[in-house]
Amino acid sequence: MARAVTARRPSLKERFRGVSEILTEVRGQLMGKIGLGLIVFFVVVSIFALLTIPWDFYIEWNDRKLWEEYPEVVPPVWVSHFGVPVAQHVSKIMSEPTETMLYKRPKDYNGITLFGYTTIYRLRYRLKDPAFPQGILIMFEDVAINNFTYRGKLIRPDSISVGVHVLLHRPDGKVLLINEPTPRSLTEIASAKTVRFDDAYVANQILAMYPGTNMTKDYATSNAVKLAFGVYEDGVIKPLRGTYEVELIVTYLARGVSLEALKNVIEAGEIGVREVKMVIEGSAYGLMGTDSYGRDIYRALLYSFPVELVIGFIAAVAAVVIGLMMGVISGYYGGWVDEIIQRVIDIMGAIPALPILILVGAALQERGASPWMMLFVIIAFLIIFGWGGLAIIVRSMTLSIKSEPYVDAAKTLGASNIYIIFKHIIPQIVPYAMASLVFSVPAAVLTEAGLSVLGIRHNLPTWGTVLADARDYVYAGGSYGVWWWILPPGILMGLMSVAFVFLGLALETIVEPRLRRR
Amino acid sequence: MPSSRVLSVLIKRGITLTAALIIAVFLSAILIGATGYDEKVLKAIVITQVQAYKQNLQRQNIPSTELNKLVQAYQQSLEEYYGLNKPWYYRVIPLAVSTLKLDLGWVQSTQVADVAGEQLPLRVSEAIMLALPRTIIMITAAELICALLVLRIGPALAYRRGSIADRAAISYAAIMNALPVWWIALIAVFAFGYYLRIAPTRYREVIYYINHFFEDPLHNMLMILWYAWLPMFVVVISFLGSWLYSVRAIALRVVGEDFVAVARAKGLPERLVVKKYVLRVIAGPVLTLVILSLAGSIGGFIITESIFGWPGMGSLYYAAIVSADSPTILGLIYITTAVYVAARFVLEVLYVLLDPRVRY
Repeated sequence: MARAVTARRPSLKERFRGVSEILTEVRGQLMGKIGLGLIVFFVVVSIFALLTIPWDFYIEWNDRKLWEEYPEVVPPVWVSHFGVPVAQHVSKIMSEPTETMLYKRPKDYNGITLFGYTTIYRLRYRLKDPAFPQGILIMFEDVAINNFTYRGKLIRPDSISVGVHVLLHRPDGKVLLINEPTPRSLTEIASAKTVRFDDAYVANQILAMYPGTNMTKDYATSNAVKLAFGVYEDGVIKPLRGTYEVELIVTYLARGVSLEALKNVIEAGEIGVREVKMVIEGSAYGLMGTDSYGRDIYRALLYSFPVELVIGFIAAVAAVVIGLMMGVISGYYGGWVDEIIQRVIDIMGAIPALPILILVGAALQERGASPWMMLFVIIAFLIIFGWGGLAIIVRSMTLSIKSEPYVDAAKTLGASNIYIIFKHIIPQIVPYAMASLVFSVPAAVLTEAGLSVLGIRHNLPTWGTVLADARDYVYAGGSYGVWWWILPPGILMGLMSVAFVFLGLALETIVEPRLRRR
Repeated sequence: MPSSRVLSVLIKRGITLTAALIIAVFLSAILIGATGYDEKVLKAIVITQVQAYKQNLQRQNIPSTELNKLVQAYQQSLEEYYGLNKPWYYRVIPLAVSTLKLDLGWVQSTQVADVAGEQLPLRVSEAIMLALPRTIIMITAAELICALLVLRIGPALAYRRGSIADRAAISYAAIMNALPVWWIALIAVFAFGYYLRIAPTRYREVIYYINHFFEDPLHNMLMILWYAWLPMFVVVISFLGSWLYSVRAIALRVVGEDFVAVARAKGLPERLVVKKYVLRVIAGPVLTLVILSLAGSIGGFIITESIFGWPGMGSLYYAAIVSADSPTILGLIYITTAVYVAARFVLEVLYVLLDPRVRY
């Protein structure tokens, strides 16, 4: 007996036969094809993003220190293919010095004095195009600051005097010292970590390079990096092409310790600089350029793919499921249930959702809510205000299906309400709900982005936040030519919406006539 | 004459819409209060007032112990005045109630007064009355242009369903639906304002020309146009898509009807068919669309206005929300929701009065 019943019951696949039919038809339409193709693209990129970028990338993104070594507000490297001169970005980690020396008495070298155990790190840099790099940065990645014993004496790292010189050898043979060399202790070096390009210090050397010109100290200071990589002629700075060499010279001295002994402990890696990173900040970076903190826009855009898809899908699916259920319940049961649901929808429809959402966002931000909390609340809001429209349509569809003779027949045969709803009503509404679902995905994404642009930040790097940062930068007086920062996030947002809207339109043209025929 | 059943339906509608209005105001009040957000601006007000009071006393050379006591007492009285010493609902519920009684109170934050172009003290109602015309001449006007354009184009598209023009219009609608209006606004400001310099980049100055409009109407009119053309252009470009799509959909149902087919078969010129047979029938639903859009536009577009820095209702909303200015927030929510709700109720009544087929 039970067996006979299962045999008669249609399988899930059969019951939702319409869905797979529709998908085949969607593929037959140009709009449907474009929409599906784009969605596949977004899903594939999202999977790639999930595999290549850690999920907590937002912490890294919001940590400004981590992005210090990258050039700020520069276009992507591929602009060089379009004839834009580009100074390459070079970053090299060195765990071994290029050369080591032992100077037992002070020695003069390119205008600086070397004394003690000396390690030299060299980085060659070729400036091919007429463009200026943004700067030079040296980072001590790993400095050992242990104590060591010498002839029974305990030598502490703060008693070791370290001299740091960074020289820039220019193609024209001139040499610039780019940092003010004040001897410091090893502990200080370890905590300072970075050596920066000292504009004012370099400016003095630059002024000496151009005697007889009317160059002022202010001018030389504010254009120090350009002047270091260029030549000054008739009031303009032209990039000087050729091969440069950045030379980092670290000298160690310790009172009462023989240089050989010092050399041995340093070479053994017990104390001293073990690893340095030498960076020449280029005039272009990465696949998508950088923002005003030097952050790699490409990574933020990529990270955003799955985030946006998740926001869109959760909000849309939840709103559609609620709308579908509410609509069916309202239409099928009628009476006071119907009355309540319809009045709730009426009221929700008249409440201004966006201002209230912004209000909630602002209040949460004030309280310092976590990014995930903010996102959760935004999505919840979109769901709460998103189901009403569909519920009204589903209700009227349910009403007409309910009065069909086969529903009466099923009732007469003793079918339960649940059975009728799931067997007869919902399968007919699902295609329409799918179209509605597809339309609501971009709405959620765009609202989320709009909130970011308003300054209601959840602090996850999304297309909306990248765009909002760009806007803030330009409005604060930055250059408006930052196309790599403004256009890609907007275009991606638009493409994602277009994908879903096209798919929705294709679905609608298929779904609508069918509904009419039934 | 509407029957008693129709009347009861209208009354029920009226009650629901009023309930929506009250709920909107109370919901916002509770959200501001329960999150403790309203304390932000109130505490800032207390601090500045106490600071001023203290400086005033110091000038009078009052001994410091007595001074501190006075300052403390003053601070306490202020906290009591603003309700900071009581739970949040003692602050926001009376505020919501008085807002509903149309007593909107005073603007609390300078940011809001700034958008209005005035100094504190400023009544919320004054701020709204200042911002409202600015939104009307920009956004409401743009929506009106959309409506007028679409009444010409929409039915014709439905009439020629499937033609190249029709398909182009649908694609346009789809793309414009996909690109948020504020993104187009952002690009437009960059392109026309900063790059081509044929539009302003700062829009606040429009306040001056609106406030002094009658001193030199012609010149001020031109200046207002100079400020408004880009925002209006952006709104029209962006919203025309969805307008086209909706009106076309409404017209499609009519174009397929027998009486239109008969009219066409009679050989009537297309323009005449559209005007006399199609437009007349779709007038009702299109009017609904127009009235609801215009009523909705009163609240301004928060994001788009903030992109342009247009000092209208949207910017006022935004300034009020970020500075936690609860009287202004509640006042704005109340006024904009009331306009929208009233529009819906008027439409409801119009249906009953004008269309003999509407019987509940």
